[in-house]
Amino acid sequence: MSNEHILNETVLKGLSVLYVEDDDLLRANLGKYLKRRFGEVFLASNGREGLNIYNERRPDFVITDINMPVMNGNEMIKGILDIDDAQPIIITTAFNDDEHTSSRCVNLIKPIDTNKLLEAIFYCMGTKL
Amino acid sequence: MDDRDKLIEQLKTELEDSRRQVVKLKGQERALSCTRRALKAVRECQAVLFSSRDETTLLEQTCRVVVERAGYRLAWVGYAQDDKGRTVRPEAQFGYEDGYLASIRISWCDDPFGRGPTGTAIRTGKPTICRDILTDPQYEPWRKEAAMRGFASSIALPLTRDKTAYGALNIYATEPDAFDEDETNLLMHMSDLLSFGINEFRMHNDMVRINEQNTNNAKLLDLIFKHTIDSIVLLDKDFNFIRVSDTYARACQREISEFIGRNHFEMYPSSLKDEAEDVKAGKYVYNRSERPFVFPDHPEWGTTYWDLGLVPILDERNEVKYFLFTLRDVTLQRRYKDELMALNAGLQRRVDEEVEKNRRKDQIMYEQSRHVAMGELLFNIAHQWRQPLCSIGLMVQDIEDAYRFNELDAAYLEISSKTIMKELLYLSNTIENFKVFYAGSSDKISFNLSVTADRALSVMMDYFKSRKVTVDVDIDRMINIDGNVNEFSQVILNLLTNIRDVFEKRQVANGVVKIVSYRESDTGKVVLTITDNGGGMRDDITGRVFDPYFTTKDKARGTGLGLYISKVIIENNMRGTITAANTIDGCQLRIEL
Repeated sequence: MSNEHILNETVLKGLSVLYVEDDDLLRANLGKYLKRRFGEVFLASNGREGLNIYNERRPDFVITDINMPVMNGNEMIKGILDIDDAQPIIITTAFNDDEHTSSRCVNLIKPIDTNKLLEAIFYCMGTKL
Repeated sequence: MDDRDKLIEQLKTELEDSRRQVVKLKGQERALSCTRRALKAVRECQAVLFSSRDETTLLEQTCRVVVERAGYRLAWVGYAQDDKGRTVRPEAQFGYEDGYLASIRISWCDDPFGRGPTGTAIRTGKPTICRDILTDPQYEPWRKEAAMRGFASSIALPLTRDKTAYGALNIYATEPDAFDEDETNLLMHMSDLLSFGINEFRMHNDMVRINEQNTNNAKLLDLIFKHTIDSIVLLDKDFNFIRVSDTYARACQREISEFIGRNHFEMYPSSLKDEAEDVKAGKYVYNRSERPFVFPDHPEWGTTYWDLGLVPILDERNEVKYFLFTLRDVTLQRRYKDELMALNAGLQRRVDEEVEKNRRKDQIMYEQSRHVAMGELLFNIAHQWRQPLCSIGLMVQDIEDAYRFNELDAAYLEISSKTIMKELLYLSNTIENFKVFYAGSSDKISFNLSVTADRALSVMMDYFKSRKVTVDVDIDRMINIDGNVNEFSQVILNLLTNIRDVFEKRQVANGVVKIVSYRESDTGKVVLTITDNGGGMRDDITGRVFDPYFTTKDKARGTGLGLYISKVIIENNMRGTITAANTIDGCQLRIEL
């Protein structure tokens, strides 16, 4: 928890993020964390919703779960990459296996360490810029 | 009266005397001549008796002698018949007959045809004379035929054996009253000779026949002793060999002559002796099957086996006279039987071994299935715990974050704390629910079906919820079941896991699981059905889904033991049935208890 982060975090205020998670509690909690830092936070509870929001809002970052009803994370990621193959995506999943991770994305294994998440976001910013 | 007259009278008297004398002498001479004739006939009869070789010749020659030597007109021999009319049948004849015998009827019963000399002689056994055929009233039936042929008197002499008359020698003379006492006696002597001769022939014939019979019987006995398959031994009362069959000698590998006269138990001392002495004392028939026997003179033959029969044969005083000992060598049969029994025992042992192997295999599979089930449990626990752990983690981090963003106050802390506690409680409950699968006794108890099914379902519930699977439960809450609750829970979990896997594999949207249980009113059986809409089993595998190591899942997930163990638990341990059948859009597992 260094001050460095707090300073850098301010750059996130100008950016937008899409968070897709089917677990309500988790979505609310991490949503709160993201809202404190990002200029705009879009929340979705499944891949279909997430893809729709992505289409409309084109967020800078996408954070998504994999196991979800209606449309799972993998399908949604495929849809997003079809639209923008450079889109930075962070996967948060409970399963550390090929089915639930992607070499194209940054993979975070649940439970989520918010510091790690922030690092991942900064890492993605670096690749994007 | 003058002298002349006196002389004349005297002469007359003397003449009369002389004449009487002459008549007397003549009569004596005639009688003497008759007697001489008869004597001659008797003598010749004796010669005939010695020279004749058979009965018929004897009869014919005797008749001839009577006629030719004794000077009678006709002689014939008749035998009494045991026919209906008790007739007398002529056997031989000699002299002037001229069809006489064929023309008359003679019987030996007490009727007009039997009251003539012949019938009377046979009936009474005494010589019978008809002094004058022309006048004798008894002779009426034959008078005409006899007179025609010049018969004037006749005698019938009985032929006897053991004081019973069986025939008569009949003699006819041309003068009446031809048979005086002397002659009758001589003729009687003659007929006795004839009887003696006939009897001798018959006795001889009888003896020849008996000898022949004996010879034949002996031959038959020889054949029996020679050809019998069973061994036959005839022993005297002291168990000395009288006779043995060829088979017996062959079985003992000795000559028949080696046995005769020797004692059975001296040749073959054995415990059979005690039993044989018992048979002798008790005079009963002894029977044994497969009695073992070791030949003392052939120990190399090993133990032989015999079906035995020892029959004491008693004399008229009810004492044992012989023993008939029959034996059948059943050594081969016994050996085959022993081999067969050994074979059967071997087979039984192999079956037992296989059963034991199977049991152990089942045990191993059961253990494996337990491991798989535990793995499933861990998988499910992990799945159930990840999200709450993640939430708790985030909320803990959020408290710090909220503080940094000046959002933290008493109310914020209270809400966070409550939410975290709620999640922790959920984790705790999960453990409780899972505990039933690995903890608890393996004893059979009575448990509530509804509670057990709910608990098993709760393990999967998180998954079903996350996949928006509709779970429809309709279980009669009153149903209790006897059994091992761990095992039964494992069955439910196995079935639900299969549904989860098929939903996953076939990407089933709008999955529906229906769990229904009720007690069938007519049979009293508890029925539990778990139905899904996962597409059902492929037709080609419906018969094999309960087989061990049969699986349609990929190797990482399936061991092919779930349904097999479920079947073992339901059918072997709980004495119920479990079946699987396809529905329109899925599969139904049906358990009956």
